[in-house]
Amino acid sequence: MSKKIHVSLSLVSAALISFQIVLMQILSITQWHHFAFMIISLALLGFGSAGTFISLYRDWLIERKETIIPASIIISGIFTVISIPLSQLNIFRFDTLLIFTDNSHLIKLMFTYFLLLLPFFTGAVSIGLIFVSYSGEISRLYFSNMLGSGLGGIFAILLLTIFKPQSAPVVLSVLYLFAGIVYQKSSNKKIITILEFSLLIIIITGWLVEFDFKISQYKDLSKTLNLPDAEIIAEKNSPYGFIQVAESDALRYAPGLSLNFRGNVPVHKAVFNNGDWVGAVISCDFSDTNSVFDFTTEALVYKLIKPENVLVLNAGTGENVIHASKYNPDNITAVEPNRALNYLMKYRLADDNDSVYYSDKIDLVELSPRTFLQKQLGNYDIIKLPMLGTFGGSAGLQAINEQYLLTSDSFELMFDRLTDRGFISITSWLDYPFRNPLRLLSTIIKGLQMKGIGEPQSHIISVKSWSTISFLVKKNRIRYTDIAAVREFCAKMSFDPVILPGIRPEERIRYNRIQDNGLFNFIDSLLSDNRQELINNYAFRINAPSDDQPFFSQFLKWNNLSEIGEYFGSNSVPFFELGYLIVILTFTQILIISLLLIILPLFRLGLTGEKKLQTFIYFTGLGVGYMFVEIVLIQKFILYFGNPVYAASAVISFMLICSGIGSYFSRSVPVNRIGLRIVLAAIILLILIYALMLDLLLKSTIHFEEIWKIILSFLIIGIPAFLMGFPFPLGIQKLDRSYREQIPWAWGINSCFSVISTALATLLSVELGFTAVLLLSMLAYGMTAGVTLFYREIKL
Amino acid sequence: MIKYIIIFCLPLLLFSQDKFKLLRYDMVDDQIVSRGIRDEKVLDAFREVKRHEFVFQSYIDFAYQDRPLPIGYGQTISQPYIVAYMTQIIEPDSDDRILEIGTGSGYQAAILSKIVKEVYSIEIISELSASAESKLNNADFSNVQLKTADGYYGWEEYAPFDAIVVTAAAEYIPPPLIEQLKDGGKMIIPVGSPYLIQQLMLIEKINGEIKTKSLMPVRFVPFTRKN
Repeated sequence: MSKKIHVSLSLVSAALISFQIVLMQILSITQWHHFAFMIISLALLGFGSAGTFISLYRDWLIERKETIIPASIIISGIFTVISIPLSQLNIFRFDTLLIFTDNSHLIKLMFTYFLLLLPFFTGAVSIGLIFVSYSGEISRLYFSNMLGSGLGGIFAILLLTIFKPQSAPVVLSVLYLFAGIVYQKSSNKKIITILEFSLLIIIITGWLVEFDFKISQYKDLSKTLNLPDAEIIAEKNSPYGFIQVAESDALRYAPGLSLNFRGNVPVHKAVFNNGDWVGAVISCDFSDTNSVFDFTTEALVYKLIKPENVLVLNAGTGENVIHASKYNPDNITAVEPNRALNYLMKYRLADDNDSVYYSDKIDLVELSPRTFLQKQLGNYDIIKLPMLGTFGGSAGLQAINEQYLLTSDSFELMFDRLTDRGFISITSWLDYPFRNPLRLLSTIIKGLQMKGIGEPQSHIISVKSWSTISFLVKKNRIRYTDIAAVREFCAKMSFDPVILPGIRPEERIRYNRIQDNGLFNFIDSLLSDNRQELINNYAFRINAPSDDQPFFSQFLKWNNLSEIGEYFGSNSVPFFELGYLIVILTFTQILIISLLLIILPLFRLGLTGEKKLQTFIYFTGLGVGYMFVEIVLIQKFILYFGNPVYAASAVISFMLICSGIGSYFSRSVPVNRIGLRIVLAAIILLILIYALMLDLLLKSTIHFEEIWKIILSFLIIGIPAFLMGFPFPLGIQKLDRSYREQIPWAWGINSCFSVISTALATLLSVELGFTAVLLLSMLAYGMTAGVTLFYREIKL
Repeated sequence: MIKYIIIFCLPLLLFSQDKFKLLRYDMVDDQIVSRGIRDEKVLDAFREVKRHEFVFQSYIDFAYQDRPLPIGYGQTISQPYIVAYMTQIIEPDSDDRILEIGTGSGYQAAILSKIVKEVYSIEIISELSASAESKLNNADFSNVQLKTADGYYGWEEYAPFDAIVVTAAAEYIPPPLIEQLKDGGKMIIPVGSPYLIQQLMLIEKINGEIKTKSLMPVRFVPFTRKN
């Protein structure tokens, strides 16, 4: 078999993975990031449907493989360029927030789904047909496929660093063009040449005519751009997202401002990431107009302590850094993992923030806050967290985002990083139904309990304005001087204390009354010994998230869904947990489509006989097991390296490459039950060890030098990934000997269950935690092993 | 020929107008009265103002449904009940001068115009302002004055106001609006996304002191599970 086929296969695999990542970025900009699940599913579903397609038309396709393989590669390249601009046409363009209120947007979503599926389907047809046509060489082919995919992940990161998101697909399509040219040995050269020429024209046109994608009218950036004379003054793309800076004469920012403020709320520039609000760009000029932050509940902590050093976590645009600098501490440590944002704040916007990050007193650390807390051992007078939730507590768009900074483990760590007189300060928007403040308090209390503090009320202070509630956690017990300072601050600002030793009920509603005083009862219950009863009975999840289930913003309890609908109207329910519901919807539709794709080829292959059940179980187990392990490892290494985007990409790419190498070496394993059983047993054993010990190993080495951490990670990811690359080609080789016509079906099953598992792993992580998902992956591999154990005349 | 067309179409036109009137009356009974709005002035205004004239043509069949509808630019025409609740809570009087921040579709201004003496409405998005002006630009709403401007500054020329209705959720209350509110006056402001308004904020100026109260137009519920 020609080496050209391997090169072509690697190029197509790389392009497909890269396109998947680029598409995730584009949908995060135009809509919201939870469509990432839809994209992952689309990609894998493209593979699943290609498997079904090849199963149904196997002989016809193999006969014409020399034309169809390069043609589908080139067509995939064409769809890569045109599918996104087409999805932006008014007839196809959907809006997330209108899906639940306007059926036409549901139909548009379906059209978009179909359009974006096309590049994956056509690309996967070429890959699948290569696998089926040269199944005797599956180990090496699978190696090329995995190697290409792994490198594609890294390539996507480079692509998003250099190019704008809308230009990235055009660059990617060049890979398809090369792949097509490299493969070309068609008997029907004319068709292929025409297709290649068409792709070249489309690439040139796409490069010269840059299309502008339209973002949802409900995104923060859209609303800002509706303001008079609003314009984008700076842009920077990176794997973290597409950062844009907007300016308007009417753009002001003063969250939860006291109604006693009589100055002028200043106009700011503001930064958006993928169209979502990141923060305002404020100056260090503390004139009257810039004192707005002193008129918010966030200022309370500075009334209780004159800090010598301040730690600002998730510093964003530096609002909290600049506010802290007003109180002249000796040192401020700002922790912000987004490199592109930091670059903008340090260079492009330095004039606007008075070059705050050039001050000798301010250190900027590019790391995720959790990793910083775990790595650094300094102590701080104030640890400041960014504001939590959204104004009005709406939309639930963060529901499936892992938030390691908001877990009980994180609060335990923060507590350790306080000086004896230090405070943790965190503010939340007041929402209704009450969710964020209650869960936050519950998490703080759990963190304190983990430190052995039995009376949380002696360490927690809380005050509220008309729209925000701030919590302070003090290392030592609260003193009378603290209490007096809180009361004085509240009286001056027309704020109300909510948690304070010796508080009187009427103090809580002196300036800002709430119709549902249940909030105070719930807070008191959480502070009492009866907290578990409230947590169990409350309509929403308000238990403390842990590192194993770090989904702070996922509040939905399934068994209360109908009750919530009854109270708030069924139209409102989706907006409580939009992110989570979209994953569920994605999962449901994928499940239905995948099952159809799996069943469909059986009409050609026959419903029974020829060990189809074994084939089904074997490849299902592999699909589920692999994706479950991958998703858990991504989460573990995000925390380990403190850089979500790069860590996730590195884990995915490295796993794919190692599995590819595993596949390559699988040729040396005897294709029999014994060989398979040994490999599967080793995988299961490794997963078990990881479920029991991985957290411990990572926590105890997180402070190691970066190079040692990378080496260790290579081993931790590489060993199981290498082994996990064996069973698929071994299974295909077995089928090649006995039931060759089942190969595309098996490939489709594996792809379909990889799709299902992606969404399922997220749902299971939210409900049961990462450790449970890891144990379930063991079960999945166990299922595959079971097929080799319990059938006497095993063919697999 | 034209005569026949008119003869044929007129009953249809009248029928559609009647249909909307019936829908409007049903909306008042089913969505507003049933949820506790009792102010007759408010209810009459809702029976009178043709909500379907304030929505996109494509949403006209949904105009009287119990939900907000998009009007473009990320804005909505609020759910009828929310508009009614916001109107009732400021206790509008026939002599009142009201400031509205965020004209949007113009529906809230139209409702207020039926109850109070003068309505001043400011919209920052010029396209929405122009669209609202064309809808309100007839004799029925002659007491409404519109302006395309930044609502942050209020409308000092006509201040002070008996009440201020802020129709778009805001993360802060502009200090000039507090200044332009009469002593004893009320300001109402929604909190939350357009599709999920569960809270409204009432701000009262009493002897120069500002107090707030969060209101929940939805049914009060204790958020614990029924056991």
